Amino acid sequence: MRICLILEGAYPYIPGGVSSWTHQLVTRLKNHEFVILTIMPSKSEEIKPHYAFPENVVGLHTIYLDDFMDLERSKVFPIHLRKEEEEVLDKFFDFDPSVDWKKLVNLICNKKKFGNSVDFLTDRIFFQKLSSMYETGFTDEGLNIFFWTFRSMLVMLLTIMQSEIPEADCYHAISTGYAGLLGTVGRYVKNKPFMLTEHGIYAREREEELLKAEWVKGIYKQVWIKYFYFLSIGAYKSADIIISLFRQNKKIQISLGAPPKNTFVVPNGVDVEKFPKHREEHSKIVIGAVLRVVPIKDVKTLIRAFNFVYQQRQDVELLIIGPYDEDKDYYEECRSLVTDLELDGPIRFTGRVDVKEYLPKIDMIILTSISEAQPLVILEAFAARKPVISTDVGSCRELVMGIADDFGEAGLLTKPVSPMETASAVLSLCSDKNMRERLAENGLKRVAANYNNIDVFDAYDHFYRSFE
Amino acid sequence: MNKKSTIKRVSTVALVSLLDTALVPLYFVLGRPSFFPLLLVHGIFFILLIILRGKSEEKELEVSPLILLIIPGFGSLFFGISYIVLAYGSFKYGGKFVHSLKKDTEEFEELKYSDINSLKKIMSLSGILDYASVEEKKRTIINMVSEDLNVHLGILKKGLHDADPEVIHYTASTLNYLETRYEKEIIQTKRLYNKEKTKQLAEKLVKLYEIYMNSGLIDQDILPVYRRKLIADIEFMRKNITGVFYINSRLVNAYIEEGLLDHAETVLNEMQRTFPQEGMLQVMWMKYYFYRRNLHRVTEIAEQIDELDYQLPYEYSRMVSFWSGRLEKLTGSMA
Repeated sequence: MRICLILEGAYPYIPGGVSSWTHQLVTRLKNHEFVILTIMPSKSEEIKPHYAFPENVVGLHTIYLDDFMDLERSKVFPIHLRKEEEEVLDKFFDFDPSVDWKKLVNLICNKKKFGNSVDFLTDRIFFQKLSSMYETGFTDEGLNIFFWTFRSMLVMLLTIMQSEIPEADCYHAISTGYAGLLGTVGRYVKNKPFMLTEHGIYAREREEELLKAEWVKGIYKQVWIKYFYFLSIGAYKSADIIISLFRQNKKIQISLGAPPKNTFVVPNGVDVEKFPKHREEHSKIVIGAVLRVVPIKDVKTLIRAFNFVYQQRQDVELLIIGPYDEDKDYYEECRSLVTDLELDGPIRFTGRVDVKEYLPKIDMIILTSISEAQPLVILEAFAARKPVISTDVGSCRELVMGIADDFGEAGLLTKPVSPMETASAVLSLCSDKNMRERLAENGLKRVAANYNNIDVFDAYDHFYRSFE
Repeated sequence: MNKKSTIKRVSTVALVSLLDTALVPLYFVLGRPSFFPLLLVHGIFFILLIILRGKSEEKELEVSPLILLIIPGFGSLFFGISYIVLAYGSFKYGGKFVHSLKKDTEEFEELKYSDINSLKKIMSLSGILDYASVEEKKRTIINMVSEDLNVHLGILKKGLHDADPEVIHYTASTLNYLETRYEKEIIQTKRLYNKEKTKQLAEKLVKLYEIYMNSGLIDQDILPVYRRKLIADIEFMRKNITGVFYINSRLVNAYIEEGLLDHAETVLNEMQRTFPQEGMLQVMWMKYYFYRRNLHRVTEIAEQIDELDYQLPYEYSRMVSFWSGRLEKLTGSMA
């Protein structure tokens, strides 16, 4: 079976969680052929694949959001639409997700009738629709900013939708957004099954970014948010199978319009047997935090929590394991906090290292993130027989407390941004070796039973084969 | 909707509103029902009106039932009257009345989301975090992102204790964002100062520290760390920037709060030479001696300030009057 994997700003060019996952998927499912279709922001940036493809990856296609810059007018005559098509287009302009997606995609992808994006954006219909939108809801805003905002939104949508997509037996988008939009095109134009996997919740992530963004102001924040929800809901409505990593995200997908019967949970997994289970002898109690030093991981709360712990007992050490070059300012702030609290001795930033080598030196793993989907670090800690202290975010409760099994708790949960609570969880684990052992054992059982990579990718194989 | 059903619905709304209104005189005149049963019955009527309103035509939805909460008891009377007015066409005055009620309700809504600097806003933010729906809580929390930096944001932390994971997520992420924003602004201003070394930038940096430290975002355990940073930065800037009262006064405050009273005294003496006429400097001396536990000296300075008639902000002049004993004399003579 040939599967077209559709990604946005990720595999094979940009390394990260989603890219590693995709690489594992194509490497493990050797019985399928894969074509990679990746959407990248701009042609002007020089990019090279970061991963070496296995043999079953038979093609790589890259679509750039600024591809329209190379386009020229292809139609001589103006666009004529039937009343029904006009109605579909009205909903499209309004980013109304209740639009008939099949009709919309077929209308826009019919280049003979609709023209390319340049044809459309220079056509009378475009200006008529835009003017009526302006008059009905945006007259308080400047016309200039209104025009360019909507034009840039629409031009990207049209460019993506009208891109050539490779032939495949199934289209599998690894997020909603533009990738999901291409999946929708595959579903309705190529008439092939469309599968969607979301590692986070795309629309929510964009919403948060936009609300905090400086580049977009006033009413346009809401417009952009509506735009991204429109894209996500479109993908939910069009996909035959919708996969999330954990239950809470499945609930959110359903609340946004995903049909419950199409939604499934397939978690991330690890190769449990590849992780060391032993403990190297060491005199102090070593707490490990495996993370990128960036604000979303809330390293400052971790440092402050450790400060409380260190005030109570000095036989503890904190290893902050992971890269710190992504946000240098934040790293400097964290370093300076460590120095200000006189913790330069017991806290060590290791930088990028092989985590597996460090795990035997560690007694417990800690995570103080503000936001997580399904953190691999917890699964890896379980696979290495370590108890976990984690903030109660994303799927951490499912992982630590266990919902679908009877193995019992495998760690302690704390509230985000709560150094005192985190410290007291650390202290209770420090003072109770039996508890640490028990939690670690439960974690190992849980990861082996529910989060083993073999089962995870078997599930994907099963979904693909269900389309044959 | 037919006429019969409209009459039925409007009459029911009118009856419920009337019964709810009757609660107030009953409570105040007869003392029955007592307070909690009164609240309970008012709550039941409120819910009943919300349900009845759900079946209304669009024009009848003009007035929000929130008006019932703003003016308990009598709010029902307004609500009932406006509902009838809207259901049976717009009379000239009735329309105006409804419009003004609607405006009040909208202003109340706006107050909840925009005027953060007022105490009312803080109170309603707290209320929202306690009682509102999950969606409303999320909206309010995320709206804090676009507020001015100069507000007390510690109250947001309430959201971390919410039962809903989404509210906790939005709160944590907003707190994290705001903290990062302050920190980045401080770092950027410091970098800029190191390049340009202007008074304006020095003042801006000190002000940023002050706003951040008073924002409620920094927990008590970590506050001394920032105070020490502030001290180090001001001492560094004082090598180039002299004669700025505000910067020096912040330094004195920071030293006093850190318990470094000798350092505070040194700076105060320098300030005494540079700003001998500054009334606020005398107030700072009072604070210094207060922390030295030399209350006699505090009183002496207060009396001097009184005699010299410095122009001080109201809250400080009250404080000075208290220490000089003038307040006691005044209140004593009034008694």
